[in-house]
Amino acid sequence: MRSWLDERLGLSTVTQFLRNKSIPQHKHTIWSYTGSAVLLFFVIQVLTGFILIFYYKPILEEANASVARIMTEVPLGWILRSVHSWSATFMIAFIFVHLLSIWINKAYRRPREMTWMTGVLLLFCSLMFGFTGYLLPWDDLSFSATKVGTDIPRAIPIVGEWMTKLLRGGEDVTGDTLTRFFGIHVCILPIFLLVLLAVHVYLIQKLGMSIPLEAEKSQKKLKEIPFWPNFVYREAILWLILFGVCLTAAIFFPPSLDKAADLMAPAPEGIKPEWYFLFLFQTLKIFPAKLLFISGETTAVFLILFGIILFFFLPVIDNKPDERKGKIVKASAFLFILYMVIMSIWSLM
Amino acid sequence: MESDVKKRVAVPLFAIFLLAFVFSIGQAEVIAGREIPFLQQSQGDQEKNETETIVPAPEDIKQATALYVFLGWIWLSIGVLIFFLRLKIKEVDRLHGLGYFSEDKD
Repeated sequence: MRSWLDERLGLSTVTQFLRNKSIPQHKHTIWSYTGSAVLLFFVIQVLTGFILIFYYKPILEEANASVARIMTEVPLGWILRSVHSWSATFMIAFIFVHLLSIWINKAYRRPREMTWMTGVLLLFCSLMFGFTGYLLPWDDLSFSATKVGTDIPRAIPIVGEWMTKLLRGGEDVTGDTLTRFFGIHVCILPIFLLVLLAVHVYLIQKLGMSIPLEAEKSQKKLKEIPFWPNFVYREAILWLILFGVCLTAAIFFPPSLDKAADLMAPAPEGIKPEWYFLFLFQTLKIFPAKLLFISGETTAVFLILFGIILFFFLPVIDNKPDERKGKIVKASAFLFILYMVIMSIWSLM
Repeated sequence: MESDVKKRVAVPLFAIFLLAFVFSIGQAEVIAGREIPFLQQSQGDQEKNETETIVPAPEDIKQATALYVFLGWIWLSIGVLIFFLRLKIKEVDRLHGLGYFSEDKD
């Protein structure tokens, strides 16, 4: 059977390629596993999403009721929805950990700048997945949070108004927004994500795994293990554990569903976005209404956009990683983590 | 040798501990007499549901126990698979040390 398949598909060439690919072993190797953890949760997202799409109805009158049906009538539907939700949380958490570990270890240095940039785009893609998916249950909280979220681009002069309308499919968050978000969530974003993922994985295959800066400087030969099977077996252990943790979390802490959103009702108290937007949400909240002659919100949005641009072009900015500038960039990674944690906690209080 | 024996004992012990843990949660619910409404909906309940928050949970203690047993089995399977994967890792690392895979390269 194996030789039959091999003759037709050339499987041994793939195995040989994977076996020739080697993974350097050093004190930071553990961070290499975070990338494949992201991939695991992405696969879980796709599989659970496929099943949820059979039952979900992306129209104003049916959205909330269809999610309620998934949770109450579909056999194990609530677990399915919970696994979908929890795997999204884990996926974004691991993307953050993956990118931060690369930032701290400076694994983005020449010639891996584009690998970093595709990784950052993948993070934004995943955040958009989270943002669009949050509205789909169409309950009070998701409706109000989307209203706040889609209002943010309005602060950008000239194009802001247009961007908000484009996102909402009109002046306000309505059934059109829901259908639009659903389309983005299940069609547009997956295409973008798959293309970006393909480029990202290709670049990793082409350039190989990075080694620590100290080892590169001392030109010390590091111990290596083959990607297949030695590294994949190690990854498989992590996948199994993470799958177990995700399933356990999904069973014990499933997301609830509020009553269907009322377009005319006032916004409920304590609107909160998903945890990964909390630090940005709090940043926008702490800005005063006016800063000199400019609106506080506009200033905050521009500051955030500036931060995003810096983050995207980090490998270009940090072009001398072992010098003083490199040390400042490394310290800024820790400051960013601290900022994220403090702002998120503050937002929750 | 001794550490191998310890590991062989540790994995099943860990699995038993996990099973005991999930069962004890199920039992605790029996003792507490907690009934978790499953919120099984019928068409007639539609209006009522519009004002309620749906908190998903097993319908009754039977379902809850089944769920915890399922979770226990999942963790047990994960434990067993990890045990075998660790053996495989030892083996492939030994082969790599012997240069078996580098011969493949040539």
